[in-house]
Amino acid sequence: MKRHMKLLTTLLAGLACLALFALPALAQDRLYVASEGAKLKADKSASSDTVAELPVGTALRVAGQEDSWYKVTVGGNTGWIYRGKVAASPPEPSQQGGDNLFGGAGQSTIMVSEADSARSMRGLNASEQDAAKAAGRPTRPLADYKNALDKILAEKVDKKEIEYFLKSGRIGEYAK
Amino acid sequence: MSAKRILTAPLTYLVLAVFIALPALAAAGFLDNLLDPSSKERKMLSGAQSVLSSSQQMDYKSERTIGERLAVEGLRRYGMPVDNQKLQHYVNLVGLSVAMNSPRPDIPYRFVVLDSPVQNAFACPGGIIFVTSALVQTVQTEAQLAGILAHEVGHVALRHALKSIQRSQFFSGVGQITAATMKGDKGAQFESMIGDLQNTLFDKGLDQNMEYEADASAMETTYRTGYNPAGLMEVLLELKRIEASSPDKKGSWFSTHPPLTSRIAKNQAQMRKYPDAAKLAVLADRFKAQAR
Repeated sequence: MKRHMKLLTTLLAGLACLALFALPALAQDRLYVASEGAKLKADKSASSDTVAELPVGTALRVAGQEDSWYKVTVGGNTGWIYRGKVAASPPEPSQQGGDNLFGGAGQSTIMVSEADSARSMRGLNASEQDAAKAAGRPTRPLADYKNALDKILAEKVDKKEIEYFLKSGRIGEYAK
Repeated sequence: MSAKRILTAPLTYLVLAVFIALPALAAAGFLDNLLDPSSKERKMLSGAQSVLSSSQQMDYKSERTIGERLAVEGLRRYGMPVDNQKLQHYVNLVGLSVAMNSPRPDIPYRFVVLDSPVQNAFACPGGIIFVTSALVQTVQTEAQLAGILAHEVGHVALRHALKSIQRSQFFSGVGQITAATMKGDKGAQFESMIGDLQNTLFDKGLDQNMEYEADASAMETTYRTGYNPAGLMEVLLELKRIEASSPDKKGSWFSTHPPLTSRIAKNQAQMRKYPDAAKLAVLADRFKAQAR
């Protein structure tokens, strides 16, 4: 009798544990695209054909994992995706007005109607000028700093160039 | 049937039942109390709402406006961009490569090397990230540079600067920064908020836990990208080595970041998550060819 009781308790405890551990395991069946520039590849290699380009947040059904690649199904297509491109939950999208990573920064933030105010908001007040002087920095006209920033924001980097950069450095999915 | 079994079996079920029902009971009580306007729960919720509305409702454009305003001040305090297009472009390629795999991959980041003898890097809300020429000189590999840039991307992605000033008066009732919100009292509050942010970013530094969080995020982001995540820790070790002999700590990494020893220890512990780290990209030669 005692032994039966023990068995029952063990069984119940085991069931409870199973329920706890089964949850994360189920969650693993689903992953989300969490990076820009993610691609579904025909094989577990960056040089294989691209089956589809996958936007951030896309839900993927996981069929398996080999090396650094997940075999996934999405929208009727099955293929492989590099482990660095996925996460257990999708990243929180930025608030409206956000541009994508490769948009021109200046372009994304300054709409024609607000151009003047956006630029004038960057103005510095007198106390900051004093601080600059105290730091021993040569006092430049304010316009110099604003122009330098405008130049920075006007710089553009192409998506293809980053791909080439990663490829030539054999980084991530391009590693041999 | 023994008396013991009769007692213990229902007891087991009872314990299990209570175990399962507890959270539900607690939730029901919480919901009931929430309906009562004078309850503690209701007050807590309305407090949480006002904190949320202060920072989370800010759209990206407003966040960027604040960031650009701070970027001008960063240039003024630390120095103009280094006049070396090849270096600037390379730093952007490394920065964008990691930003793509960061917790916030969908905003336009820009990376700039500033001509400054001070060892530091900092991030303006919205994604403009500065690293000083002195710190670039300290760095030895592309994986190390990636680690530093990913740490700053982490601050932007996790909205650390804005969170540290979200109780600022300026934010009450401001969803979006426009020309109209810049007038009168709001204009003065905007200036005061910018002053607080400058103090946080350039003098005082962010909260220690935010730095640890940005380190953890940087290691994860570089690992996801395919760089050896030890890069950031290597730079911290080098900074620790030169910390003692560094003449001017004002405005430097040493004054705006928490003690290096505790950060290095935390990063070392996190390295256990990456058993294949040694196989990942380091790229010392490419770094030297592009950044020296």
